[in-house]
Amino acid sequence: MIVSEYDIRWAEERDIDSIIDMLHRLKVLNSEFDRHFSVRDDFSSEVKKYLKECINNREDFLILIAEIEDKIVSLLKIDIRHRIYYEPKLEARITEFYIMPEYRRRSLGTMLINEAIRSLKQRGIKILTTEFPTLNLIASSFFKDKGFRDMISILVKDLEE
Amino acid sequence: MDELERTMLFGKLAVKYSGFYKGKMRILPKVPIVDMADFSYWYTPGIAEVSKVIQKDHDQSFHLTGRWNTVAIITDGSRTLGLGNTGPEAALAVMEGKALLFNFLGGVNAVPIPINVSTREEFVQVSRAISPSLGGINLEDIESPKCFYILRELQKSLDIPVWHDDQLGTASAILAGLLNSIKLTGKNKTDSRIILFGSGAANIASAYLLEAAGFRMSNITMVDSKGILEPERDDMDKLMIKHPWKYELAMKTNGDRLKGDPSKAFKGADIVISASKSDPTTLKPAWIRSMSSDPIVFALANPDPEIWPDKAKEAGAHIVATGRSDFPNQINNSIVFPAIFRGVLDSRSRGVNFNIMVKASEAIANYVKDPTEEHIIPKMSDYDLFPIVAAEVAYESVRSGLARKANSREGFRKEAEQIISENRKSYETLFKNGLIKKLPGE
Repeated sequence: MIVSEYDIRWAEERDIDSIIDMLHRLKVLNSEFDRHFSVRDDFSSEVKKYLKECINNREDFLILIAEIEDKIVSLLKIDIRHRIYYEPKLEARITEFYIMPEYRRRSLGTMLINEAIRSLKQRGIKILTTEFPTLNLIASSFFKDKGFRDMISILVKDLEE
Repeated sequence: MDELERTMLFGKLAVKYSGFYKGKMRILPKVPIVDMADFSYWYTPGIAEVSKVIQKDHDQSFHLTGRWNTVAIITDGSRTLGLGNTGPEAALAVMEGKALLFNFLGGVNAVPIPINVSTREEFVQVSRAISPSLGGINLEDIESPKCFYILRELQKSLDIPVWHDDQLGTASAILAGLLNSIKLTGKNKTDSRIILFGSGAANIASAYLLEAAGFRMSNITMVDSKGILEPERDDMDKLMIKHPWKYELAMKTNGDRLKGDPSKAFKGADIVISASKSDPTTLKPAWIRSMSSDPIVFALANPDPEIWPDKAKEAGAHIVATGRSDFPNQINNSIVFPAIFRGVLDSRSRGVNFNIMVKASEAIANYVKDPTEEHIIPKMSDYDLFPIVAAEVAYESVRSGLARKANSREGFRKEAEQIISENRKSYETLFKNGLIKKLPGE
């Protein structure tokens, strides 16, 4: 599907290397916010396996990418969670969201989210949540602008000195 | 005597003289006091009426008090000269020296105010709190990137000019030297490819000032310790969070999207402005040899430039400038800030911006009537430079709607000349009459 100058589509196995590069950038950024987000040495090999599974499981994962001139410049990964205690039973959780720096502030993030929402609605999914490090104020402001609100808190306690 | 011996001697003398004079500035009355009755209008009861007038209209404080000519030199001592984080007490000695230059060259009453603060927010808060007594603020020796935040926040929230000399003063001096350099080498603003080597306070401000002067951002390539700055570099996200000013330049500069080590940036470039490491092996002669014809090399680190001028010339540099007074073409912000402040103070300006700085740089460049390779920029001893530049600054403040007080360009020049010369006469009178003692000798 062509949206503006970008081609937004579901990720495929051939995209894995570009996706890993973006995920690595995202996780290195997360490490700036909390030391418990320091990136693993075997990041690429582990993530490759995991991504392959996710890409081939469209029931539980929605991975969208944006391309411009055959270059992948953005990634949105959503996990579909089955809620055993609550209604609605299905929750879509944005777990990874990255746009290459040069392509930011061009509404690409909004386009990706809108495309995801369209797809989620078709599946009858009623709530979309997102997660990111608490100190990532840029992400917080972006999602709040899009109508997201605080719902759950995750706190951490170090068990080792 | 070699460079190190000279530095040691000056250091020894500075400590001795500082102890002898116990401070470089003082406050003296400027109104007649014949007897105590005079205080009836200089102080109570009469002065209450002045307070009432100002209470009704705060701008009257520029007319009825010394606010119009008062500047605070504010620092937290987090990056004092090349010494690093010395703390505010140690920075006071340096700020007093700066105040002396402000006063001697620009006739400005500059007050050194090192402050003890622990966060950038606190710095902004303290500066805002003292602003009602000031016609302007000069930020000094604050570490990067904190300095960008503080400057932005203060400029945004105050209606007086706020200047960070390490950024804006140096950038203005660079632009002035560059304008004459491109004239001499037949280069032009729109096509010149520029390397900003080092991405500290001065070069980041230079990028924006060069753009305001008509150079193209896309023709600028910034280089730092990690190589060429470009949007896909690994540290971009970190910069977005920690140093958005540099991040912004990574997006706007380097139109060719060069990547990697500095040598790639030099190929075919016209100009390199280095504000980087005080080490004469920093800029490689091979890099300069790979530049376009008649390259312009500004190696501005102090005390030692990034390449010695003779080595840069051997490698083909047409024009070389440094930060030192013992080589030709010293890029020195002391020819800028006294004039900038004289101008914004005389126009009672509400701010200072890149357009005003461009006018100042052009006036500085034009002051050199017949520029040569060895003379692209005036010296501090060109005393008549200051009123000329101040007039351009004041006039541009009026033109841009920032001024509280209007005048013609010539009117501002005369006013600046009078203020500076009367101030100088007061000083000379004190000196001739022994009220400022002669140096005690080495």
